[in-house]
Amino acid sequence: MRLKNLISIMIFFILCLGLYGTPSANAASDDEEALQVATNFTKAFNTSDFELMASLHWQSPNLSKYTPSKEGAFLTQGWDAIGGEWKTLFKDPAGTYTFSTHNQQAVMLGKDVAVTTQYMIAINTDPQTKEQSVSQFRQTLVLQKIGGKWLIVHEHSSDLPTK
Amino acid sequence: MRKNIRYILASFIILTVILSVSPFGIAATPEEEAIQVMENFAKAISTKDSPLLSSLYWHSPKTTYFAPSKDGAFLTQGWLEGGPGIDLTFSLHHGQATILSDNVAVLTGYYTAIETDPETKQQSTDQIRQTLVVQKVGGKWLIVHEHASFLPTK
Repeated sequence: MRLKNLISIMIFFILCLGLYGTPSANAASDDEEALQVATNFTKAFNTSDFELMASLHWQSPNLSKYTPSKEGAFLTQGWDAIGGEWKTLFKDPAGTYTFSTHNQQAVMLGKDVAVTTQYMIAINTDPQTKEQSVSQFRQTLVLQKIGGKWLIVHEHSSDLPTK
Repeated sequence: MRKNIRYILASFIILTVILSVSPFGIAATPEEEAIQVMENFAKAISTKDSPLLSSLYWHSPKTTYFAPSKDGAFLTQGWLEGGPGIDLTFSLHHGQATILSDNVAVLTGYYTAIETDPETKQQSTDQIRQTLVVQKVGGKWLIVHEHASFLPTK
């Protein structure tokens, strides 16, 4: 009887360990994975981390984006151009831009495409005068799962309209 | 010899007729089909065609849009029946499509919007950038997300 109890307890523990170790137990949902890209986008921006920013983008000529500023008013196409813009932007001293993201949400369009929407508050600190200004943006990221990884294939960021 | 020429001519005409009526002869590419959504969007706004505008959207709680004006500054979620109310003429420029999968595409383009004041008849112009994410639902490309913003000037 004692042996039987011991065996039952051992089976229970093995079962618990097995369940804990399976990928499904700790895997993020597709929505969560997609939202993580938007979170990492903000992190890369705040830390001027070009490598992280590059890893979030589809490095293809079909990548495209609209940005809120006059310089990015028209569609920028292809990773070569978009990556070049990030490199230029990240030359500004660290702390020039501080972004925070709000009300993130993801809509899945099938298994491998997602649209995330969020609002961003940007604090821009002038490197010389240290004067600060605040901007509010709306952002759409279109993501596609390519090679098992969610990548930005299109971005549309725009100022929050005031008129 | 003359009979041969007749046969060749007849075969040529039959072949031409078959090619012109075959689906392959008139089928649009997925890009062309998807871009048609942007063209119909401009047409619906310009002609105040609410049923046409409504037919372009996925009528789902998951449909979302950012509009260019203050009224639509924040994300609108779910399909809201309504339609173009003011006198606007929309013309599409540089519409392009990126097909992401068999049933999802991203469309980008610019619109020139001419608004006419109903009382003074005075006109004003705006330039708008638009992203449409479209999904093929029941064999038809439908708008599932829209982000429209005024062309930045600063």
